[in-house]
Amino acid sequence: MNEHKKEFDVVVIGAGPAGLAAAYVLAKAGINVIVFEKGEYPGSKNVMGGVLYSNAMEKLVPEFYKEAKVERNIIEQNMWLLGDNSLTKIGHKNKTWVEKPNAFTVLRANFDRWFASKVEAAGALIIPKTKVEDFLRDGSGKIVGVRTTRPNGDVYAKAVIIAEGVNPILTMKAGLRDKDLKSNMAAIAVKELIEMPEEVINDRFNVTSDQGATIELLGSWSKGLFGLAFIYTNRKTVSVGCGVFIEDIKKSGMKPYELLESLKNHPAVKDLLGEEPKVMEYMAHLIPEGGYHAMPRFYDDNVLACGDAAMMVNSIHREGSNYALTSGRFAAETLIEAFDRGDFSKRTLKIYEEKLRESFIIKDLLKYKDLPRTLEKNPQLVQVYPDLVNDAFGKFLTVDGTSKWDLQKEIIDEVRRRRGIIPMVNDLFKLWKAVR
Amino acid sequence: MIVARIEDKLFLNRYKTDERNAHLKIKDEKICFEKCGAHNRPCTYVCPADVYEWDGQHMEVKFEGCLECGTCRIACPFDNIEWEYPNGGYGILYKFG
Ligand SMILES: Cc1cc2nc3c(=O)[nH]c(=O)nc-3n(C[C@H](O)[C@H](O)[C@H](O)COP(=O)(O)OP(=O)(O)OC[C@H]3O[C@@H](n4cnc5c(N)ncnc54)[C@H](O)[C@@H]3O)c2cc1C
Ligand code: SF4
Ligand code: SF4
Repeated sequence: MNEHKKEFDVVVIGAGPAGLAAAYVLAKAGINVIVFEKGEYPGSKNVMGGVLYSNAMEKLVPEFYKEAKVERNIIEQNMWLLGDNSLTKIGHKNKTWVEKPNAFTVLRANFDRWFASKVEAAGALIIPKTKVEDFLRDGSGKIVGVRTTRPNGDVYAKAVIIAEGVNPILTMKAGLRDKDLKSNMAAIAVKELIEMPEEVINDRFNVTSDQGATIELLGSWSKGLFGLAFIYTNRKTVSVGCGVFIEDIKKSGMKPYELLESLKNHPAVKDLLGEEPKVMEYMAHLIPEGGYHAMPRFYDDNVLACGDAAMMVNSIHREGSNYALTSGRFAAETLIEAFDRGDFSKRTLKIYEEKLRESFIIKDLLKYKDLPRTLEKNPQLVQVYPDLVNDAFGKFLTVDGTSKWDLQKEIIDEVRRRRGIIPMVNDLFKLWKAVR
Repeated sequence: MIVARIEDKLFLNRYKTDERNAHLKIKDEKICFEKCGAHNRPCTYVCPADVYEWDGQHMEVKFEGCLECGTCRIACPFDNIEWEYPNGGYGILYKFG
């Protein structure tokens, strides 16, 4: 970049779904927007399990999947409860998703790069290989631009959108968050991409090419920690990963990738992945899991925060990218209004928070606001129950001459021994309250 | 059980290492030595890339393998890691993500 003072209407920090969505909407409205991305290209730093719900993306680019880098249309979703040597499956397949796609699997390095090209075509400038280090402020301390790692890399703007993802480095510097994340507000997720021929995927997951399935896994793989694992089908690869709270892994003394190995070595998972799965890439990323109570302030004079930076993730429904896309869009719409009014102060930018509160984002996060703490305080919810369910089903379905009456009694006795009826009812009540 | 080595996993990845700028530094090794033993030095096991290695006296920081997740930053009980992302264009370079 050259010497004279560089000015844009809006600076966006980060080219993930949140930043790209914001830049896309702004550029289409004719606003002069620049996006800084520290990676070599958009997506080169980004990891996600891989389920992108279509709805949020459709609102930006109708029928995006016809041109975007997506992998498979998800038509079946499964939950597996793992015991040490057993497995209980719950699944849902939906024919309507064939015609009207609900979700696609994506690989972020491909998807983000495609989306970025779309954003550039709309007129935004995307500058990769550039880290934003700090903000530029005026005499009264208001944010008026950003300082980047480039020589002479100061850029001024009327407003800045922070879409930096889960580590709230700049969100804190902007004063939107007072304290950093605590170890119970984020999960560390590790993931591997495994090569698998298209026909083998189709065969093992019982789908046709283009169509895919997801599996979430709870239970014995996590060695007693609260964790959620996933296996998602891509076109010629399968994504396998798991996440656990940093707090839990810290207490356990285990390493995150040991849990991933434990998952891959479960007999049921081995059946699916084959004896010696060929790994193509190993990844790790945080997932913000603090929920509603851990959210920062969303805006201040001349600045807005969206996506993971604002803790917008609901991992029970593996929603994050759609929150990022939607909050990025809201931030842009708010700034378009601010340009109309010629006012970028809090007074106008509060429209952003109003939009968030009226939308599914805050409504859903409010609904689940107590879930992170409930899970944290009640590890038995994931430690005992998958095992119990497996043993119960195992007993129920094993025909060994025991009468069904005796069988039922045995199962109930087992529940009593392992958890107790009253604590169990209590657990279910707590869980119900947390997701109600 | 297939025991995977972290070296093999990291070997699969592409990195562009900024040899001259370590983006992770221990602020005060004395804290690791004197105080953090009681906490089992969490950075040595929570990190998904085994970046931190304690040799009994010193902390070796193999920042070249860092996946830039941020776990160590949050897990260190003494806020003893000077943590930043590598400079623009450097660090992990996912092909798939
Ligand atoms: C293992 C895993 C599985 C997941 N599974 C799903 C799923 O199946 N479905 C789903 O919807 N969500 C999922 N999520 C969540 C989802 O990935 C995030 O919610 C989403 O990516 C958030 O988007 P974002 O744009 O806010 O942040 P990010 O995607 O993290 O983007 C932030 C961008 O900012 C850049 N950046 C950061 N700091 C700077 C700086 N200082 N200067 C310049 N650039 C900077 C980064 O390089 C990055 O490109 C998953 C997450 C993980 C980790
Ligand atoms: S966790 Fe922090 S204080 Fe403890 S050993 Fe690691 S760097 Fe040192
Ligand atoms: S950021 Fe993540 S990968 Fe890098 S050293 Fe810290 S814990 Fe390890």
